[in-house]
Amino acid sequence: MSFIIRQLKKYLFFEEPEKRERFILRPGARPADEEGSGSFEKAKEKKKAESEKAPEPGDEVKSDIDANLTHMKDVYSIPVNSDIVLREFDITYGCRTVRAFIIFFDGMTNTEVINNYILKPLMVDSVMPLKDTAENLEGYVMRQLMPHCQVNISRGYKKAVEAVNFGGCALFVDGLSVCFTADVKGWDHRGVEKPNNEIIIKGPQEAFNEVLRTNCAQIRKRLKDEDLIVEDILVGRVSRTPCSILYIKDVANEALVQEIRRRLEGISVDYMLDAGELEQLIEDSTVYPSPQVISTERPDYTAELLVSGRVAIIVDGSPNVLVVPITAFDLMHSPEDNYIRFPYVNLLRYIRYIAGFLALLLPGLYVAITNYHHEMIPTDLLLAIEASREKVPFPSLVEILLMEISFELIREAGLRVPGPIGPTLGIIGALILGQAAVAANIVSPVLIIIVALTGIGSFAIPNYSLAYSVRIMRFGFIFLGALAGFLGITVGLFMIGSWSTALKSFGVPFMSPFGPKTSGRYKNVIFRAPEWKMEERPDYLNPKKKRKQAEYSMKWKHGKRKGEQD
Amino acid sequence: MQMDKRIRFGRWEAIMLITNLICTKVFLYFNRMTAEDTGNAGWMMAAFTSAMALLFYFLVMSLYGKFEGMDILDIAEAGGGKVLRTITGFVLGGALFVLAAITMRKFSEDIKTISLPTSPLSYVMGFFMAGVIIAGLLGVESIVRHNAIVTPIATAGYIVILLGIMPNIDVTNLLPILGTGLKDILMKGFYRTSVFAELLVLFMLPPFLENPGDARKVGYVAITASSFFFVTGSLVYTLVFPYPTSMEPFLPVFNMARLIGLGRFFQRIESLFVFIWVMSALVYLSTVFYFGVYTVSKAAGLKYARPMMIPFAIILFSAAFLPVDLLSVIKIESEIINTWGWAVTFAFIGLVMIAAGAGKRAGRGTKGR
Repeated sequence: MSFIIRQLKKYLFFEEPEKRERFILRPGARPADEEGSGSFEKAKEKKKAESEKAPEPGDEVKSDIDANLTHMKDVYSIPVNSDIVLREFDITYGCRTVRAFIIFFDGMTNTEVINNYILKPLMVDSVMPLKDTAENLEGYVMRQLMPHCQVNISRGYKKAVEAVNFGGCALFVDGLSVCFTADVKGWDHRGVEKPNNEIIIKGPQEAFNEVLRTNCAQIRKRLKDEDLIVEDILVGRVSRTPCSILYIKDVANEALVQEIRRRLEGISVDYMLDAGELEQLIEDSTVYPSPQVISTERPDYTAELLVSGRVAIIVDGSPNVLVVPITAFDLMHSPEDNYIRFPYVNLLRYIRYIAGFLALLLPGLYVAITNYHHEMIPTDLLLAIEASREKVPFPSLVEILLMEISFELIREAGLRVPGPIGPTLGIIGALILGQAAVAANIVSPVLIIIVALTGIGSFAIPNYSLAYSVRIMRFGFIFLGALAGFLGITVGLFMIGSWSTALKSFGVPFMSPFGPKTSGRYKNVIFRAPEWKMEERPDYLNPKKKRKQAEYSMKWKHGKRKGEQD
Repeated sequence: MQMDKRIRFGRWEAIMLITNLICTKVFLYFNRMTAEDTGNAGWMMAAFTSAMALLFYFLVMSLYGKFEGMDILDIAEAGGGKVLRTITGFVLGGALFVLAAITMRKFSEDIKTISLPTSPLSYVMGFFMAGVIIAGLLGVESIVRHNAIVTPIATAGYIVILLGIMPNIDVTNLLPILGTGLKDILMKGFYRTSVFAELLVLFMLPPFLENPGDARKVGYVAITASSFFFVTGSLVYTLVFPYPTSMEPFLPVFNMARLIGLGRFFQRIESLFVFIWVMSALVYLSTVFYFGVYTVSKAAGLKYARPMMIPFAIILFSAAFLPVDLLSVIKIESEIINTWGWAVTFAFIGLVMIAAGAGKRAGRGTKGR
């Protein structure tokens, strides 16, 4: 009841709009709230302070090994938890024996590394005479007994637990109020394989996998730039999922990077398991049908987008990387656009736009024309259509809805069907969307062509997520076409257009560079200029460096040959 | 590109906005009106009207120098205090509402005639209202950007129609060259400067512009661009339709589009024109409606215009039904809006600026918001 009253009040009485921080990407590198010092410097200081931060009260590692043992057993529910390994042993330090234990997850760690480079030196090599007798136990363990490349000292349990949860091991030594954590990840994972969804003919054939650092390395090996920054952040109160923000320090707008940090730090969920979840938690509008983030499985495409001044977010465990900010036109670009000659790209882009148009509007237009605008159809064609529809008992709206829903059913079933029975689905699909449906007088042959063209159109849209949104909106346009013909469809386009122009993706207007108008509209938006003409980064990204290649990028054409006279 | 927390837009967006506002009437009635007024010399009247509009605009803008960057309500307040601001706001807001209501009724009537003859008028108008409300709620940023995208497309469509109609041109239709006479061209041409009535939105724009000094240039460019479309539109219309036919009281550009035939297969492509036409109308209506509500809200000293959108949309919807029939709408449009519109856009605004300038010198008024 109170809900109803609240809703009624909302419509009847004016309420002061809630003050919301609205991020707009401005030119210049510094975020608005940090005048005088760059956000990058701030981030550096923050990370440094975090690493030097003393543990919270109650979280400190104790010098008593038994206390530490009890605490870790309690944290990991030992012995109920069966995949956790807790190994107790002794270290020889000078002339005395010191108790120690190591804790790690079986299956997540590389036991060979633990045995050879952590346990063996501690248990066996410690018996050998000390090289530096003046060193204390902490320094001795750290510098001489752990010949492993990634060892950290932690003063709090929380960090040790985080490390163990993410495939590390923690070593506790009696008498030391610190613990040592080593990165010994060793879980099984996929290798670097070919992309499954963003397939191209020319260009690199590697895709991201589920391992965070492999994905970072895939980008780094392409860019080979020390200014490529990989900033780590943990998302999820419980899962503490490691994510990395990637950007080129001297290209990306600092305000943009700061905004991404702010959004990631502002996520308060227990578990965050995939980039798809993160995308929904950071996008500007959750109800707008189209995606406002590019989700790609291609490292080469991500590298290309980073070079333009965008920022990538990698989520551990996800083979898709998110790239922001984007505009509506970016969603119609394919990674292959960079690798093939510009006349071919332009042809492909026209085809994609035609495909998008067909996928979105063709069924709606069919309904509109057959119901309201017969005069548009040339007489011969009109007679042919009417003759084919003569025996169909349904109005065109019902007819098209039947076919579109059937098509969506087949598409959805095609994704879920187990491999061995896949061909069966093809046969059933051909029956529904084919001659059998026509012979049964359920639909007209023209409609089969309409639905087929629509389906092919939606498959030609390069962004998978955009194809989904087109599928949803298509139904809206079918109803609008049925309600008011071209008027309804135009009103629908106007509404979507208004919504799109009001929208922003991480501070960048979604319809840039046409609404608002910015420079470089004819370089790589709808059309693509030749490679030598792609001199500047997109203006709407407000990058630190506008230019990405020299004015004469093909200097060999303009320079003189060796020994050539004027 | 400059972006800030404050909503603002560039010169291009502003030019597209004003040009679309002025030129939408080309789709509706302008060519027919010029033919009615001056016969075969419609295009001359269009040229004279445009020249007069430029002159009036120049005169008004010569008074604007002292108030650079302020909108007309701020100017009124700066010179004449809250009273002048409120009067100005309600006059301009009222004018914008009349424009929106009449244009919506006209568009709806025309769409009903062309595409939806069996549907009730309120049903057709409901679609326009839905678009207007959505755009109004999304705000000025969305409206202006949408204008910047739609106007070039609509322009391209219009030019395609003009080019497509070329085979039907008969140069002898231009004769007698002075139409109904020089007197009509000059006298009626003067009153018809009212077709630039939508320029009054320009006087609400300066605070939204990235560079407020651009307002002056925006006006000149928009008037010149609109003049081009008025003159070419009238000229082609006169060349295509003989004088008696050109006065048929129905959508001139639509009639032109009906004549386009590309071979045996493409004979009736005028329905495609509905897309350009409705889109242009929606952008026009949403802009005029938004600025109408914004002007009234600002004049009344309200902090937010958004909560007023739906109530005002309901008022607009009801107001659009006040004329009894299509002929009454055409009469209001021709005899009131297109005859006396200049009085609001140029004379009233000029007077407000003169009053504000005098008030400022005398030390009256308050600092504009």
